[in-house]
Amino acid sequence: MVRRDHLRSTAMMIATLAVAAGLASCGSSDAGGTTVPSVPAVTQPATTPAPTTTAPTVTVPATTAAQETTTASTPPATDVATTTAEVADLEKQLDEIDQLLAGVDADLSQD
Amino acid sequence: MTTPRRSIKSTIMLGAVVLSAGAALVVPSAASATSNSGELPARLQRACLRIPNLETRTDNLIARLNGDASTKGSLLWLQAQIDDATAKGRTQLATVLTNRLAVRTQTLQVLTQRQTRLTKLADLCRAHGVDV
Repeated sequence: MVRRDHLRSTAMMIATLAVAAGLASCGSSDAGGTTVPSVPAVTQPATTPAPTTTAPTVTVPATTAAQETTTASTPPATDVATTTAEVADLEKQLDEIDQLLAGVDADLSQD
Repeated sequence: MTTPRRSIKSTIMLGAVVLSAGAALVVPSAASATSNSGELPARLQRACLRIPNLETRTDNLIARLNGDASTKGSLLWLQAQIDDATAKGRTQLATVLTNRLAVRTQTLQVLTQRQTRLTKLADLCRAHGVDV
């Protein structure tokens, strides 16, 4: 009976460790997979625009001219930490400017 | 006698199942992190490469709006049209053109601000290693 109890407690320990490992893996995947926006999203009305400054989190541009020529055909290695939120904000701003220019073109075509 | 053994076996099996589930959660998250790390620089470069054309278009529009009275679409040209319509007694047309001039004046200010922003965005891209 003592041996069986020992086996049972061992099995319970394995199960507990397995659950702990599973929970730990969930926590680590959340920490690594999701990017927290470092720059707040900029939403401005078109009538009262103001220039926004998107500051990079870390500015360490260390690419040299020689490196740029060698990696011209491939996407450059970003030395600075770029988050998904930063790129999304950049795309959003460019889309907004693109739409503005299209609107101005349409307005000028009325003349 | 068989009941405790079954209980031990089932506990071990439960542990194995939970362990497998934990591993299954780890593998997809690691895969997505890898794909994100490869996708982000390309996405950044694509966005940055849009900037030069937007700068050119913005510069051209600002130059056109700031043009003289002979430049079609410029503020001065529009003012000349308003003066002409007013002189001919076409008050409704003059009102429409006056409203258009007000909008276009604001447009010029907005374009100037966007021009400054594009310059900053280009600097940001260069700081990230993208040659704009």
